[in-house]
Amino acid sequence: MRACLLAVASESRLGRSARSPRKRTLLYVRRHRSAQPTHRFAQQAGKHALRLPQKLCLCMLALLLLATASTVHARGADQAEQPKVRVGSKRFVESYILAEMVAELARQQGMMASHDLGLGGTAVVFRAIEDGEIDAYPEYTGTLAETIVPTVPTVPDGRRSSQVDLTSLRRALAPHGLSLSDPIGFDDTYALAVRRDVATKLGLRTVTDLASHGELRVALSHEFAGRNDGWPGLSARYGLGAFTPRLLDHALAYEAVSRASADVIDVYTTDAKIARYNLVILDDDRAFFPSYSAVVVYRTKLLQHTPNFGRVLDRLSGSIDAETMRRLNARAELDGVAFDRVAKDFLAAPGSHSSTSFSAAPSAMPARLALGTWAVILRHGPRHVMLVAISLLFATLLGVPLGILAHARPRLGVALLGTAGVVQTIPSLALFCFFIPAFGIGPVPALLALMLYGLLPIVRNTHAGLASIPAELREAALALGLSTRERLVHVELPLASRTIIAGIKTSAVVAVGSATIAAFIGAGGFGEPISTGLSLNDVPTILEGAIPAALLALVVQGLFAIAECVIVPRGLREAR
Amino acid sequence: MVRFEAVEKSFEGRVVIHETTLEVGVGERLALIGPSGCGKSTLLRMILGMVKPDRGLVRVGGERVTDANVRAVRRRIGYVIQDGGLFPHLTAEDNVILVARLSGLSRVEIAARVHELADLARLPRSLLHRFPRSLSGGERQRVGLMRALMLDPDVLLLDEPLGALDPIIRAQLQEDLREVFCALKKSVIVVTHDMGEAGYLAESIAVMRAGKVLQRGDVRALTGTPADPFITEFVSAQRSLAEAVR
Ligand SMILES: Nc1ncnc2c1ncn2[C@@H]1O[C@H](COP(=O)(O)OP(=O)(O)OP(=O)(O)O)[C@@H](O)[C@H]1O
Ligand SMILES: [Mg+2]
Repeated sequence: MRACLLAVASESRLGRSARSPRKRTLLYVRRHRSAQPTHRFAQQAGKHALRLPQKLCLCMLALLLLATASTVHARGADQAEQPKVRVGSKRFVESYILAEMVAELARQQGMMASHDLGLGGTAVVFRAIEDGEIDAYPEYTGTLAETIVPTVPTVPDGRRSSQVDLTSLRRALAPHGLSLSDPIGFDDTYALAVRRDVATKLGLRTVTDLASHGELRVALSHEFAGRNDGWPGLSARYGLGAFTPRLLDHALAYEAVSRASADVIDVYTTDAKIARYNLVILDDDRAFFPSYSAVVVYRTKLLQHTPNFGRVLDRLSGSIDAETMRRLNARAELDGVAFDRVAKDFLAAPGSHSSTSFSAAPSAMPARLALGTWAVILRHGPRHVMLVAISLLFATLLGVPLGILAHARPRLGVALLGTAGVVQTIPSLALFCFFIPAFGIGPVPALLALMLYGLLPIVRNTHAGLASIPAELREAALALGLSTRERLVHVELPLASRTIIAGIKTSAVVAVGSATIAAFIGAGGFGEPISTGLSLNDVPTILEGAIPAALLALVVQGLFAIAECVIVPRGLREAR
Repeated sequence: MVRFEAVEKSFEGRVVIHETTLEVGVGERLALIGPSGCGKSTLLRMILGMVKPDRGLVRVGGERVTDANVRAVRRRIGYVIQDGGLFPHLTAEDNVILVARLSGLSRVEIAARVHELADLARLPRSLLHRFPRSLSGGERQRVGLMRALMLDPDVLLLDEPLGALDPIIRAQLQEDLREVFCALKKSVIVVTHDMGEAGYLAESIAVMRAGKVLQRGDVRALTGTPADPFITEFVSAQRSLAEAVR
């Protein structure tokens, strides 16, 4: 459970595992984005069913599979003769760009390449490649060493781990059927950055230089401040005890430093904004920060079947330095240039495309992911509706009987309602993560969590509905000589139907909302644009998920108004 | 037909029915009368097996009411409560036929029986498709009576069947009930607060007080040879119209 929380909730841009569990939430809010596009689902779900003890979920899966049958079919149809490469990426700009490069280079080598944009965080993407759903994706050596193949000897804190040696990483990946390219050329790791004017004035070049300027104001992200390989270790290594760092959200750090309300902040070495805000990276002269060297992870079989893929890797190897990556990130992130455009332009003429953003005013939010409302609804809507519908179906199938039981056995009822109440107080992401060890990532744990969330209103309302039946009606039913079952079916449930439906409605509306969080564990739905938008700090994209989700909630309300007319007996409805 | 043999019942340590023995023969009509809370409804519930006596036993048709036979016993008893106790989610007709439908009687049989009962209870057939909420109090009682009679029970229990009705409807229903009782020759126990009504509907009256049957007899016996001062008090508390005019 804990491991899972770490793996999922602590996805950072680099996919590092957070070493400070208390920072998890923040990490997650800022960086962790993981979800999968709809079309992956059928495959993955199918695999889980075969591999894990999930008999309980078989019916769910059957329903889901049925619903996604058409997409599966479409997928089957395009298995062409041409060698095919499916490239995946994690949910941040740099990963998108690198994946586009791999895909583009593969096309140039005569392969048919597709890019599954932003599958999710490290755990999701790694699982996808293990399962053969993608063939390659961009990764960082440090991430692999820390989160995926922790069998690689960890480098003791404080020793530069650019020596995370590729050979042992490769050895560790081999049993997974995976291989590793040579380094692409840049490191995306932590660094300290200082405003250029401050650096010039004080002659700061290295972190060692910084140590003697205790008067400078340091502002750190929560994540960096809490990690051993962040500030605490750095401070010990360089003797930075004189500083009293302020903590603030990373998104605000650049603003803070540009407004001169901070002098030093922590950054990732390829952040687009480093150039944009005119910052200087202080050289890690005592080699403290671990290495996060960019590489391509690919399925070993891919190279066997398609030797041409080797050329793709060769072309990439050593081709991008940190400065270049920063520029490419800036083009996409700050100028709103499409990822494939950025990738193609670079491949056509590396180095010739400097970002215009250095001088430009803060650009409008990038619109490249904005699919248009209808497209978004069509793409994510069915999955979202499915998550809600199926979890609701099972919540009802389980909740109503539990409510009946709670009413029939008052003492058990107290325990049942109490338990359902406790489940309700578990933060949704934690609940989602709870099922990952058993069910992996994707819609199955999401459905289970959504179902549990939906349970309380249904159990409670069923119980309340039954409890509110007037004593004389109970007595009348009893006196007629009806059996317990007959009383329930013909008298008590119909009489309680109004309250029960209200409970199911509450549950449905809650599920529509909670399902957006399911995207974080790769279940898809409207949460996908929301999480993507969050990771890109792109409000229109967030709204593309949030607005349809809100509309869906309204539609659900409307549907229940209709359902009430059908299900609640006419005699119980308001007199016309 | 119905026999209480030395039954006793306490609720929460409070004795509600003191040792009581009471019998209602086949075709006999008994009225239970007494102040509020004296245990009338509790006695009826014991017959239906909804309240179990702490001591003693209840027999219906000579058979002891137990957990095993309680449902069968209930189906041989018609039970009418104040305001009919109709299910609001079912139409008048569906209320009447619910048990018959569940016991597997044929549609034709059921339809015939409903018409027969509607005539007997003097309920206009056009009202059969209404929901209880759009029936008047008197009409609801008639439907309640039909429901109680649907399976042609041996025993009819009525708990203040006319308690909530205005005097004119009440008088009408009293007549109709009496007619039904006489026509069907069932054993009847009717609970009421009204001595006149009790005398009109039943052959004998049992006056209860605080969980005890003080005296059983017809109106003449109760007024002529009261067994307890309370009976005199109770009888005289029933003001007559004549008294009011005087
Ligand atoms: N389930 C129960 N639990 C506790 N006390 C009960 C229960 N049922 C009845 N009683 C009590 O038993 C006593 C007799 O109740 P019962 O309903 O038989 O009175 P009643 O003669 O029918 O009164 P009324 O004329 O008001 O209907 C009352 O004091 C009542 O509070
Ligand atoms: Mg009563």
